[in-house]
This record gives sequence, C-alpha cells and structure tokens, in this order.
Amino acid sequence: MRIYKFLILFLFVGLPSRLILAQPVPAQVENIPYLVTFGNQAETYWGDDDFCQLFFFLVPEDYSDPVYIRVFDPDCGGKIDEINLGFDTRTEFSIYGGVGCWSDKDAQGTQPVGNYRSGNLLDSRTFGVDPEYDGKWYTFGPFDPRDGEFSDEFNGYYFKIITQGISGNDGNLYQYYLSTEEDRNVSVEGGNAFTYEYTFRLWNDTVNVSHIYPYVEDGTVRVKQRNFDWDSDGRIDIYSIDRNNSSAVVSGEDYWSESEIVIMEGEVGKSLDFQFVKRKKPLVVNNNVVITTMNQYEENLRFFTKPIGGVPKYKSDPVFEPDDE
Amino acid sequence: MFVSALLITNLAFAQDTSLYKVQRLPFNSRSYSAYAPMILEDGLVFCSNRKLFKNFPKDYKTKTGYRPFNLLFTSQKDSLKWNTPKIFSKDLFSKVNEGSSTFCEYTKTLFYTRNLLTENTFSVENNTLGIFYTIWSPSVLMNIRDFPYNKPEYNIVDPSISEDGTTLYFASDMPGGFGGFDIYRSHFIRGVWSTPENLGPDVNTRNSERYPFIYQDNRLYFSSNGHRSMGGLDIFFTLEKDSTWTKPAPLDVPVNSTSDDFSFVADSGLATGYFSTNRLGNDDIFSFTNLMPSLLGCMEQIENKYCFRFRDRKVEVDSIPNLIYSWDFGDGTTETGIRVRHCFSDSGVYKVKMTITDVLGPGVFYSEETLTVKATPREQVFINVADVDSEGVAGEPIRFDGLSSYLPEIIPSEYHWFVDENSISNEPEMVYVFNKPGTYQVKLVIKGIGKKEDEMKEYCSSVSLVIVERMEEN
Repeated sequence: MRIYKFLILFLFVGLPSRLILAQPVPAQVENIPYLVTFGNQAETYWGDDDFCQLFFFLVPEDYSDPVYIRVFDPDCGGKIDEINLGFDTRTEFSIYGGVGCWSDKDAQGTQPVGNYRSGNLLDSRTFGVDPEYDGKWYTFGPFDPRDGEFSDEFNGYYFKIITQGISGNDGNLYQYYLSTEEDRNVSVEGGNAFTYEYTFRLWNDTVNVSHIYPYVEDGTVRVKQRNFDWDSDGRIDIYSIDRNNSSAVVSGEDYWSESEIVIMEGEVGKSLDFQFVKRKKPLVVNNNVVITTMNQYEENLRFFTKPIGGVPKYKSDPVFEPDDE
Repeated sequence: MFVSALLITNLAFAQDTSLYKVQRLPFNSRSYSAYAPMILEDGLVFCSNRKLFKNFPKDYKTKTGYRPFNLLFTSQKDSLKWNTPKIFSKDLFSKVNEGSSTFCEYTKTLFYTRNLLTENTFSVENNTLGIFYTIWSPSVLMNIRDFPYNKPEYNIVDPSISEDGTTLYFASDMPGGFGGFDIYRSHFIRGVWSTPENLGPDVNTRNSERYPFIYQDNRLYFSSNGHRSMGGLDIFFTLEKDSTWTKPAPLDVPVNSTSDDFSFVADSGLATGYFSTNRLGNDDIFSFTNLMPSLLGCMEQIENKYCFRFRDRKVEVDSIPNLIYSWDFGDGTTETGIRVRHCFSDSGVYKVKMTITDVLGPGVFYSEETLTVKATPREQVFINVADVDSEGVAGEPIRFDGLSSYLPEIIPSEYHWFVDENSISNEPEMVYVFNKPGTYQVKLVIKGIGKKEDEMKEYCSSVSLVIVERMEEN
C-alpha cells in the first residue's frame, strides 16, 4: 500500500494551515525577510559565501495541474536590494527539472561546484537593474509537475531553482513562491520547498526572531551546523520537541563557525527549530548570513520551509517529588 | 472545674489496659517448685527441686528432708507440649542449690547462682549464695569461676547479663543497701569486674528487690515486694535515662497478682516470655504473651510538611535565555524558575500548571502542562496535642488525639496511649494530667487490619512534651 507520507505529515503540522504555506520562500513560519544572493564580484564579508543559492520545490505526485515558480523582486536595484557603490549586479534565475535535478550528488551540496546544475533546464532569466520588476513578481512556468524529478521519499516531483550572481557586487534580495496561478500566489496543496544551504537576510531590528527547520532524517545521531558571516549578531538557539536550551556557536565577520549537537531519540524523523535571536545592542543592520547543517556522515541536511513533522513545539516534562527537608 | 473533671472521665483517663495473656506451663509439678526460667536456644533452663529419675545421678536430700534446687532444662515439643525436664548440665550439678541463671550469647558465658560451699558439705544452711560463671556450650564446660564479690557474709544471686556481656545485674543483701535484697550491677572492664553499684533508691526500697532482667541495656525488669506491690513480689520495669531510673511501673494483671510474681524473662521483642508465680501454691513457671503493642520501634513524630520540588525533567540547567518557567501551584501562589520548591499549607489535591513563555514575544515559544499533585500527610501515627503551645503546665489537663494519623495501609481498630511507657488509654482521644514538671514521652500505637493483607499491623509515634511548673497567681 502506498503511503502518502508527505500528506500525512502535512496533516499533523501543529499550526493552522494558513500559517504554514510552504510555497512562499521564505515561509511565514520562518519569519525571514528575504533570501539574498550577491554578485560574484562582491566580497564574501557582505554575507554570501558563494554567490549562489539552490532551492528545491516539491509538488505532490497527485497534483497534476501546471505550477508556476514566481520570484519577488528579481531585479537588483531599488529599495529592497543592497547596493554597493552603484547597482551593477546581474542575477540569473534558472529552473531545472527531470532526472538528476535533485538526486545528483552535486545538487545536494552546499557549493556551486561540479554538476550542481544537473537535470533539464526548463527556463532561465537574468535580471539586472530592471525597475519593471522592482518590488514585483516575475513568473516562471507553467510547468507540468511531471517535468520535475520524481522521488518516492515524499512521493512528489522536484524542481530546482538556482539563483546565481553572475556579475557585479550588490546584494539581490528576493523571495519565491510555488503557485498554481501565473499572476498571483496560490499555494500548491501539499507542496513544499527546501535547501541545503540557506543564505538570507536577518531582520533590521532586535525584535523579530527568524527560524529555519533542519529535518532530522532516520539514522541521524549528531547534527553539525556551520554558519558564515554572522557578525556575532546574537544567538542561534536550537529547539525541538525535546530540547529548549541548546545553542549553536555563532560566527563573526567573514568566517565560518560550527558546532554540533547530539540528537535525541524523539527528534529523529522530525525537524529542529533554529532560532536566530539578534543581539540588542548595537543593532546590526543588513546582516546577510549563511547556514548549513549535516549529519555525522557529513551528508547535508535539508531545511524545509514547511518543517517536516510540523513546527517543533517543545514538550516539557514537568515532574515533582516530595521534599520535606 | 466540674466540666473538666467530667471530660477527663469521659475520655478514659488513665485506664487499665492490661493485655497480657498468661499460661501455666505443663511441665510444672504440683509437688515441687519451678522458677527462674532462662531462655536458652529452643528451650528453658530453670530451677527446680523436683525429684529427677533415670537421668539424674543421685537424689540428694538434706537430713531435714530439704531437696536442693538444681538447674533443669526443657524444650517445647510443639505449641502445646513440652518435653520432660532433665538436668541441664551434669557439670554444674552439685549437692547444694543451683539457682537462677543467665546466658550471654555474645560471650558464650553462663552465669548462675549457687551456694558457695559445695565440697564436703551437704548443707545449705549457713551457706550463702553467690554467682558463678563459665564459658558454656552444650558439649564443653570450661572452668567455673567465682564472681569476685561472692562472700560468706551475704548473698549474691539472680544474675542477668547485658547483651554485650559487660554488665552484670544481680540482687544482693550485702551491707550498704536500702533493705532486704537490692539490685546491683558490675561492669566487666579489662578483665576485671568493677565494684558493685547499687542502682539507688529509684529502684531499691526498704523491702526486697530480686530477679533483675536487663533488656537492651536500659530497660530493667525486676521483682519487688516494695513499690506498693499488689501483694508479695510483683514484677516492675524501669528505664535508665540520663543515668537515672524512671519510677518503676508494675506489669499489668494477670502477670502480677496478689501472690509472688517474679523472675521475668522475655524474648528479643518482648512479645513473649516467662515468669514465675506462686499464685497456685507452689512456684510455677508461666508463659506470657504480650498483646500490648511493642514500643521498641516507636519513632519520633515528624511534622507534616507538604513540600515538593518541581522541575522540567528534560532540562538540566538552572536558566535558559529568553525562557521563563512559571508555576501556578493551584493554591493561589505562583513562582518562576526552572526548578522550584513549594510547600502547600495543607494536604489536598492540587492542579499545578507550568507555563513556559518567551520574553521575546508571544508565539515565539510557549508550552503549558498541568500536574496533579496529591499532598498527603506523612504515613505515620500523628499525635495532636491541644491546649499546649510549646510547654504544658503541671496539674492542667492536656488533650491528645490521634485522629490526624495517616495510615493508608490499615483500618485502625486499636489505640494505645503511653506516657513514659506507662499505658494510659485505649481511646482515639485522651486527656492526661501531668502532675510534675519534666520532659515526658507520649506515645501512641495504632493497630489495625491491613487493607491488602489480612493481618494485624501496628504503627507508633512519640512526641516529647515539656511540662513546667504552674505559675502562682499573685
């Protein structure tokens, strides 16, 4: 009997479904303002280690209508993006499907090396200073879901979007949406998105807490996180159903830091919640950061925008014992 | 005043609570005496002048027809029958009197009473008694030694050795006593018996005190025809506390009677034992079963506290950035902290709610759990002392009750109150008047049938109560 694991997981998500739409990337439950990719002539201390970001969209097998991959503010100019001297950056957005687009080992890496552009190129477009798309959506597609790469892990079709800064040194801030409609954002029921390396912008305030949700696959014993160019901006706290007091080592300017946690039994098959708590003073603004996670075999873990198993909610275990002393 | 007196009466003030069951043992003889039992292994050693037959070497009699007493031994066949007594030890046998004995299991030493002169004489007249001792085993008898204070001028009799073998209690009419026989003791220090020490006027009277039986080093049973005995010798007990002896208390009827009742011995739990009495004419040995609760395991009452420690079992640290643990204890009080301690003011069932919130804002982190906490009193007999703040006043009635006892394992059916080991009342409540200032131990034993196992169980607690002199009004 075929198990629609992904759908079942969806049903068990702990928050109201309107709050956990997967197709916005970043998702609402992540509370991340923007993804960011710099032009390949930028210095890495701007917060992008490789000027490239790979994301995967997952369309459930039983969804057969066309889907669209939409990009918000794909240009590099205007109010949202991060200027460096003058906007001169060109960013290429490429959509891939077909066999290997996800399953190729290089596609699951964290660096744009080797065959990371695996699969069939379905569409591509490069944006520079294009006021027409400043603060607006650009739509790729329609795509037949079956043009993606099928995997029975979650019984769905994978599409890959590679965003790469091919020139310039500015920061392009943007968002994605996997939509059933060409001109508006309508979620694909049961859809999801994930990446192996998350490059994003932190909030320019000290109040908002951003989250990402690494998925702890079966067999995971330890999880190592690596983060880049965090500018010592606060803390990374790690939560799960069984964890509420772990922290990750935070990097400073233009270097990687890493730390490891031991996975508890109740965390396997579910997601962790990495919370990014900015420091109060002094306020760090325009902080772009990179984070990856891997298991004990140094296999990269996925950050699902709709966390597998739901947003992990710590389940306390209060106990009491007599104490007459 | 009248009301007060009525109250005391109604609450069974100072009731007699004798709960001994006694039985004359079947090996006693109508024609001969038997007394001074001593528990040894699975039987009894005792004194008797009964005529022995086949297993007796020779039947001695004085010219006047007096048959001396010897040490005999008998053991139980079953719960009702005893074997025919036989001579305890041929090595100890003499032509003269052998009397009461005691045995120290620890040092394997047997002490016994005997006339001092045994050689070339068959006379018990002008032949005083002394204590002799020897290492004893069923098959081997070592040299018999004199207790060094034996003298022809007076008697030293009725030995009782302490558990560790270092203190010998005995009776003697040696000079310097209070009259008749007195109870003495001597300590065995570095191989030497110390000069006998008279136990003093709390124990000894102008009359005679005999047959000491020391129990666990501080509880002394003895026989006396003083201390306002019911008649003849009665059996009393006293406790040594802070180098003084409490006022001797008589054992209840039917252990004591208007006849001579003496030479009390008991097993290790004081639940059963033996004594001698001439209530039926001759000296006989009776067994007793103590139906009174044992106070040996009585523990000091512990104040009931309903305190608990609360924590999140998943968290090992004392604080977590951003997270606040809040505890609502369900009794109108709250506290914050990952680990907290709370004492409820009373027993009861409380719903304790633990909430974890994040100071970063609502929705970031939130968890709530509810615990059901059953605050029960400590499992113990609980003695409520009314009318008393910290100290009681001599001459004024004080009300006690055991109604707050928490004994979930039994259905209480019997209450036994004691003041300094004296049985006072068998009611759940009592009123007692302490006539003299001092510190008193009030104990309550509650017995009941076990709810799970159909057997009687008992629990005991004690409280210490200070009684002060009544302040005279100007």
